[in-house]
Amino acid sequence: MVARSILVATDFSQPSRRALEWARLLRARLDAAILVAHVDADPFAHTTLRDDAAKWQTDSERGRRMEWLKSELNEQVDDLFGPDAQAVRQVVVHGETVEALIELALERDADLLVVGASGKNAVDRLLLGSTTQELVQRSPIPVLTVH
Amino acid sequence: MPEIRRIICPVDFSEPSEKALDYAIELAAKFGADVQAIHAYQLPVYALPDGAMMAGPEFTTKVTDELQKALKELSARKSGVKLETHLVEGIPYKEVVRMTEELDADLVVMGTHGRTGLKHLLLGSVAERVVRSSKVPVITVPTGEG
Repeated sequence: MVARSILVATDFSQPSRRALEWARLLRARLDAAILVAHVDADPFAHTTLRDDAAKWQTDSERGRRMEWLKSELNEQVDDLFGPDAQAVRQVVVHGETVEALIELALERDADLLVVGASGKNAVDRLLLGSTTQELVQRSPIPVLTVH
Repeated sequence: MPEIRRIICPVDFSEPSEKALDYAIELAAKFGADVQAIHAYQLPVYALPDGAMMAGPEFTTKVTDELQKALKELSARKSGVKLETHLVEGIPYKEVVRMTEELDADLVVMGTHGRTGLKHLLLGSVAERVVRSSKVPVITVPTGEG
């Protein structure tokens, strides 16, 4: 079977929206389960400031951010999947985007990863979607890149 | 609303590329789509102090005959969907993107590790270039995926 369990990554960008549309199409035709994930990337993950940066945020701030991201995600899923949204699972995870997505894919036994072609931030755009590029290189499961 | 009616699948006669073709065929069957297998080749050009030497017509014909034969054999092994093959000369990733537009395909399916495994480390694979340049979505199927 081509794809039974599909993990879709969204960063709330336009390409992500199109990625979700493709996931919806695959779900309809392949009867696949869908998990939509947003990775709340730590901008200091690869710097020596990582531990300090973590201290700047209080637990309640982190909680509020999490709630906000979850509601954004919920809104996007509702918007795109309509009445089928109930059957779509959602998750917000922390970490470095590529690592977090691969980990999540393996953990949830996903057999296809669907992503938008370029990220939201300017650096990603300059590098023509470095996150996507890295995913294509490193993912152990097939990756559907939507432009 | 996206739809899948035609899938482009670049092939280089390696095992990973045949796996990607099987993936494309399985997906196409689910969507009632057809599959267009494409092999892009480049003929060698030798640089000499006073110019360049290119393959002669005899050699060129021999190469294209062999490739056509290989494509025919490949498609004979597959069934289940409408499968057409194309042999094109040029830079592989550019030809794949060009054919995607020319044939009005909705999706590209390709393996991530073709014949030039080591080159990948330095230049990135053909698949990565296609992902960068393609206007339609691309499914990259990694080696080892069954």
